[in-house]
Amino acid sequence: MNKEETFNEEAELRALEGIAPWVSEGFARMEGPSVRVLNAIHAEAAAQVTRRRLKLRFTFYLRVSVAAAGVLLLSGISLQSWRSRKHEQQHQLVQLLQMTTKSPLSEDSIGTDPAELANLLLSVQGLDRESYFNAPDGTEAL
Amino acid sequence: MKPVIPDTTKSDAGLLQDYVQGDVASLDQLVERYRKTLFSWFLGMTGSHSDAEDLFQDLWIRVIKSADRFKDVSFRAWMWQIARNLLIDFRRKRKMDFSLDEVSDEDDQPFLETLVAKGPTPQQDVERTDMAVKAMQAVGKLPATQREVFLMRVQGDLPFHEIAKILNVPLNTALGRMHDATTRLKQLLTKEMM
Repeated sequence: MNKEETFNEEAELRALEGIAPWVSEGFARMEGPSVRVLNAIHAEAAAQVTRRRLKLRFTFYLRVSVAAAGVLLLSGISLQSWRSRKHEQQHQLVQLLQMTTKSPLSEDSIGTDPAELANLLLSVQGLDRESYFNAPDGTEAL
Repeated sequence: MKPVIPDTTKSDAGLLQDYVQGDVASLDQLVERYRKTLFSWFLGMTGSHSDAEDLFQDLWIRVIKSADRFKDVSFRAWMWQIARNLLIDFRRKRKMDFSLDEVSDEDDQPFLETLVAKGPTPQQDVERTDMAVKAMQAVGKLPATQREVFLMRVQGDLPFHEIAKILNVPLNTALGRMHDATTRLKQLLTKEMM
């Protein structure tokens, strides 16, 4: 074949006309693929459909499991976060109380002496006994 | 497997889509639609009935396995491309010093001569059979590159532009191979008849 030569499609088809029918007839006289081969293809096609269905089902359950695990994880994290926030708030409250009293609160120090208790209550409110009772309108009873 | 009654109402791609949805009968329809053309091509290219059967089966198994990845191309071109790749692999495994793209006229051996004796020869049609046998023998003497184009056109009924696309060659190259094939076949058949 000359590489420079250009070929015409219609001319090639015309050239085929005398030969193609004989070749086709020759092939038509040959046996096709056996029933065994056709059955094997059919069986593989059916098996592949089953595999695809199983895969789809597995993927569905896998997605549901991943979603459920995600929800559980997020719930756990939220609960933990809420508890730690609550704990932190309680801790801050106790610290605040400790900061407002000069001495740590204890059962022994509360309620035994009325004068001490009055001092404590005044200090919690940011007041002191001297300035309170020496106020110009110091008529107000405690 | 039940006998397949050909259904011409659905396209190849439609049948494949139905198969992907789980309808095995649609795949049977596709196999039936391409049974003769593809099997003839494998037979013509290998010269062996059992090799052609193996390749035919391998082809459909590949189609089955990659059916859900098939989209937006011509099913026929896709399938022929698989068929050609399978044939190249087959010949490579057999350590035939052969490449469908590179083979020269002298490298290739005739394959179909061994085939023709297997075909049934009805008594009442001896002359026709004789001519068909001679034509097939002549096809068997073609170099593989010419034979594959010739058989894709004659048995596969593929248009030349599609053949060129499958072979990944320019259209003129495909036409040139066809031209050489028909010229050589005419020479061989004329010689046979004389």
